[in-house]
Amino acid sequence: MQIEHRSFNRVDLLAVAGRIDAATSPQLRQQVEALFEQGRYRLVLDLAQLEYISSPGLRVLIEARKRAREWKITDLEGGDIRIANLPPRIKEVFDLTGFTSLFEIYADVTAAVGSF
Amino acid sequence: MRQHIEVPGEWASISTLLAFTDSLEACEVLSHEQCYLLRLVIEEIATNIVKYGYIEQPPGPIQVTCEYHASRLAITIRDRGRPFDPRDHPLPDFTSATAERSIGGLGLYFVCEMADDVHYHHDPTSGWNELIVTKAST
Repeated sequence: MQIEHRSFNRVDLLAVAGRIDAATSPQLRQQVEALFEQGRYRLVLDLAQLEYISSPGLRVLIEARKRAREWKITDLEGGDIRIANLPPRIKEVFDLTGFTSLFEIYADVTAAVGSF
Repeated sequence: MRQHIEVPGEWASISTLLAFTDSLEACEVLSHEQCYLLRLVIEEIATNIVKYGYIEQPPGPIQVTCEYHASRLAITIRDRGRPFDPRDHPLPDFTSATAERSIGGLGLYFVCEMADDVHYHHDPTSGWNELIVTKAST
């Protein structure tokens, strides 16, 4: 798994490529937690190059979403994890698990970053 | 094609099994869906065997056999740990829209949903558990 990080004014973008499995999910968790520790709770995950995700990876996503959403500026504005460029194969996994309705999913990075 | 591997039922073996899936994927006979399922079965089921199957006894073997014939992949996982039929595991809670919902059993649910067929058998005489997961090319 490779993670590429880009920081914008209000939003952080993590482009995750390869596989998020039992071996690599701790690396993603660490990267997300490092951003939370810096007070960065608006994250976009660009999954265009993601080939595989299993249950440990999904747990990282759902726990990160929960943490991010606990950070609020107002009732209408706060943290979140949003998804961009969900590949069809990974979308099937999201559909099977109900993650499609749980996460805000955007067609591209520009739309996802602009949604905050 | 028929490939077989046996490893001890311990954490260090998971990476060995995932390397085994890498080698099968490299053969380029499996479809994308079959490759995905193969990795998922090996990761989720083998992890469960290590985590729960051998928890009350010294780690025994995990045997994985992959057979590909007439566009159909059959993955057989055998172990001698505590009997456990993944089809009997309760479904994860997908009814709640909140992030606090339970996602236990997610991996097993995946495997059962993505496979064409899942067959489990425990032989009380020998102590072997056998799980056979099949998927045809689409």
